[in-house]
Amino acid sequence: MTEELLPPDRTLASAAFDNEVTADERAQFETSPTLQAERDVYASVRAQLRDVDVPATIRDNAIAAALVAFDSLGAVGNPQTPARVVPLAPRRERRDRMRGWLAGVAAAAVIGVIGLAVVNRGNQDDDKSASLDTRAASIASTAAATESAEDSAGKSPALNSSAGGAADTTIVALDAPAAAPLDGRPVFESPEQIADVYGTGDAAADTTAAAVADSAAPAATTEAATQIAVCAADPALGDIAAIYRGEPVILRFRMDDELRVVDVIPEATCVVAETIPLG
Amino acid sequence: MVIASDSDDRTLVVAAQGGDRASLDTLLRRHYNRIYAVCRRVTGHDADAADAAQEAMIAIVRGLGRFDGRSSFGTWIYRIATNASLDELRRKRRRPVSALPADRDGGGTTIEVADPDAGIRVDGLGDRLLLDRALAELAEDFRIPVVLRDVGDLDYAEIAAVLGVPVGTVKSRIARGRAALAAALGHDFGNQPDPDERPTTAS
Repeated sequence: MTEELLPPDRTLASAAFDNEVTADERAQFETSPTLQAERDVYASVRAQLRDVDVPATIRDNAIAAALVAFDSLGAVGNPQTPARVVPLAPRRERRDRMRGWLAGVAAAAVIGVIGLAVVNRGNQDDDKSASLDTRAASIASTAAATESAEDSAGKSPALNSSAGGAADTTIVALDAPAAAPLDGRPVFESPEQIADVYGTGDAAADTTAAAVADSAAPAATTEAATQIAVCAADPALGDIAAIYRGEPVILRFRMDDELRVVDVIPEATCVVAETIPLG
Repeated sequence: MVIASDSDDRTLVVAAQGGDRASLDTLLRRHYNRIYAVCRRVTGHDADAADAAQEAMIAIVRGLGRFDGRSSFGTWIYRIATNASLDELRRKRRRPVSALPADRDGGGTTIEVADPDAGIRVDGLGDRLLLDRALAELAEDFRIPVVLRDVGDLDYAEIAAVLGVPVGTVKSRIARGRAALAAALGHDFGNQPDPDERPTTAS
């Protein structure tokens, strides 16, 4: 059937039923018993269409899954903490500035702790203090090492939770339109990197998230590998345009038997090449 | 700050964008039933609707930071629900099918493995199955505007925005879709499209 618009008289009853008519059309409708009978039929059809049973468990599960997704975006386990939504690019720049500042702070902390340890070494009675100093030195060293490891791993810092234990929590607005330039995309070299960035991580502390995380993490399924995907990142659906193993891809998130997964879809083939569980 | 559960969508959206989990929960609960109903009528199957509605809920959460309020929240979420439903239909079509052994006439019949209900004969099984069949036989171009109008409660301009077509096209598709549905459900009135004009999936 061709896509031809119906003449106004053929749409009048339907449009009048929807209050999408002009005053003249309304007057014409009001004088026609036939059109009004047609309107009554449409009202009956609408009532049937709306008569849908919604299983409570299905609803609760869907909302729980959505809240887990919300938690995994950055508001993990701390609903009282105010969060803010920031665009990715400014956050990345700020994080880069923060990184240099944090390196300086970590170095100063290590020096300070060593100094304290030297002073306290002379105090034979303060074993507790020495113990605390050792722990503090260890924490400071770990913080510096973690920062260094992030650098060497090439993990996109803009996609991680707030740096340096910042008091607020941030929901990252992942701006990844289909036409995003290649050099603006997050870059990944392994499934682990993707899971690190987009996985729930500490969200497992949440009971629902824990249930998801405890599920067996399946490898890429045969079905997923044969899926043909729509080959465009849809921001409304949360798609991410990225570079994976040197290739432009779309990362498409979905739930698979209560397990959150991401399909990796190379733009060259539009076919799901890999499915990565996000525990 | 505590956001009242009877706050309007915009207030709840802003609070949720600011990290308020309770506001998000309220928002999702407020809209879930209609999202599910839209998914149910687009996909025509309970399990597919559940999957699509859950995908839609997650997509709404993931996209919430990008929702700028230029369209209504309802328009935005029903667009997502429609896309999730269509994705579910596409996935369903890609699921493997197997052929039954050839019958005595040498012909074969195929069924969808993942959808054991697909072969149900609907004759005499009641209005709900009749409606499902009527919807299934209606082409997507007509089924979706009717569902968005009658189930999602979107106006013509909002449907036009969701589907990316002119308002006149929405008006025409809804009229034709409704007429075809009414006829399939056994309603008889004048002014219906000719049978060969009905917007079926085969057309």
